[in-house]
Amino acid sequence: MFNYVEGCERLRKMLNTFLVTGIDEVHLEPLDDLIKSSQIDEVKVLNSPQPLSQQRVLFGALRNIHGTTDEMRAKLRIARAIHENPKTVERALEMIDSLCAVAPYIDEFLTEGGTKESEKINELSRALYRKANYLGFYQNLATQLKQARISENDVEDFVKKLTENIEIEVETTDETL
Amino acid sequence: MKIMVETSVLIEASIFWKCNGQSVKGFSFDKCTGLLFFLQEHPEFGIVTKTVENEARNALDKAVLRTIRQTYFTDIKEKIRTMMMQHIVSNYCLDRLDKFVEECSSRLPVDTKERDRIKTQEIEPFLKDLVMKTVRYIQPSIPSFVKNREVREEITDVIVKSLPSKGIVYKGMPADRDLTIMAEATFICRKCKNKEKVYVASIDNHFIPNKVQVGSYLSGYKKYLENELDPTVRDSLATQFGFIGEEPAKILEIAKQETSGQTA
Repeated sequence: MFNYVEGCERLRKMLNTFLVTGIDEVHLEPLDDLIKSSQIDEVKVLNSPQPLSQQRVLFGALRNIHGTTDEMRAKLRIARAIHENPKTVERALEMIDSLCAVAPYIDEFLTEGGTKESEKINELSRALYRKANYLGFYQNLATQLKQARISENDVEDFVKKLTENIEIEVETTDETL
Repeated sequence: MKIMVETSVLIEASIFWKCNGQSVKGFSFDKCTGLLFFLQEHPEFGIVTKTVENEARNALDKAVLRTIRQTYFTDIKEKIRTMMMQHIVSNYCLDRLDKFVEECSSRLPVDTKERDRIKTQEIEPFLKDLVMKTVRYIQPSIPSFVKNREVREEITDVIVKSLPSKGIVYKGMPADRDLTIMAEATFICRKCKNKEKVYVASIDNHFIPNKVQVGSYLSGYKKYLENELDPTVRDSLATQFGFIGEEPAKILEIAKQETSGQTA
């Protein structure tokens, strides 16, 4: 089983080395491991017997790790190609603390099969997403949808249902209907 | 003037998607975004409290979960796709919500002890007493032997027209979260020492004048009376606690008048 705390620390080490030696595409394994493991664990979480609300929180956190690390790898490769080092590496290093903050909760869920701290994970996962977005380590909407093979019509249907459910939640439904 | 944005307005303005040249939005989206765009330009008027922000996030979370539960997964692939989609949509809506909270509000400190005291010792008993005298809709008493639906509907309309007073129409006792928001609005009013009018922008009928609805339980007949709003409970709350609940479009009008008056 992949350990996310160790995985993030390995990533920190890798980036610190890159700061000194420059980006080396052959030594991106810590990043590759995080990308691969988060994708595998997304499926594990959705197959777990935990309630949907918990699955959703964990799935979101893993998705944010996956999205961030995937984009980080792409950006590091571009930085290597244009010899832009160390700006991208420095920015990537700024992401590490946010990744490290959520990692222990994912390890806990995967080893113990559940968590009591869904709210905390949600909060940290959202912070990770916001930081990644701010630092340019998150794909744009169109790319995310394309990668997930989701059509615009599917999203339209989902959002339509969501607006109906929001009206139920905040009690603004038209009662004559 | 101060405009406190209530959960329903914040969340309604946050749910939006544009695709294939068409936009998907709720029925009050335009009214709510109109006010929030105004507040982005005049953040000195806007107040979004922590409670409202948290409630909006909770509402979005619950609505997304409800939407996922309504989806039938034929296999794990379908489940992964749906979960990815909800993740993308949730992040997008939360981004909008965060932007509104950051740009539309000057957040005032709220003394939570005092707020809770106002809620439990003032607003809750006041409303509990008041809702004893309110109705959700007006139902004239028609003998049960009149079974025909059309006849019942016709008689309902005639009786309602001839009624000298239609009673107080209100949605019923608000949920705990609404009482907290009302208490926060009261707290802000008292902080302003009634020097400034405090409006609560909402599309939830617990805060604003209620549309007058008539109906017949036996035939299932229900309709809203055109252009008739019952502001009794809203006005009572305003008199007793100071805050004025109103629809975002109306508040926008008032705020625009106020700003044009200031510049003139």
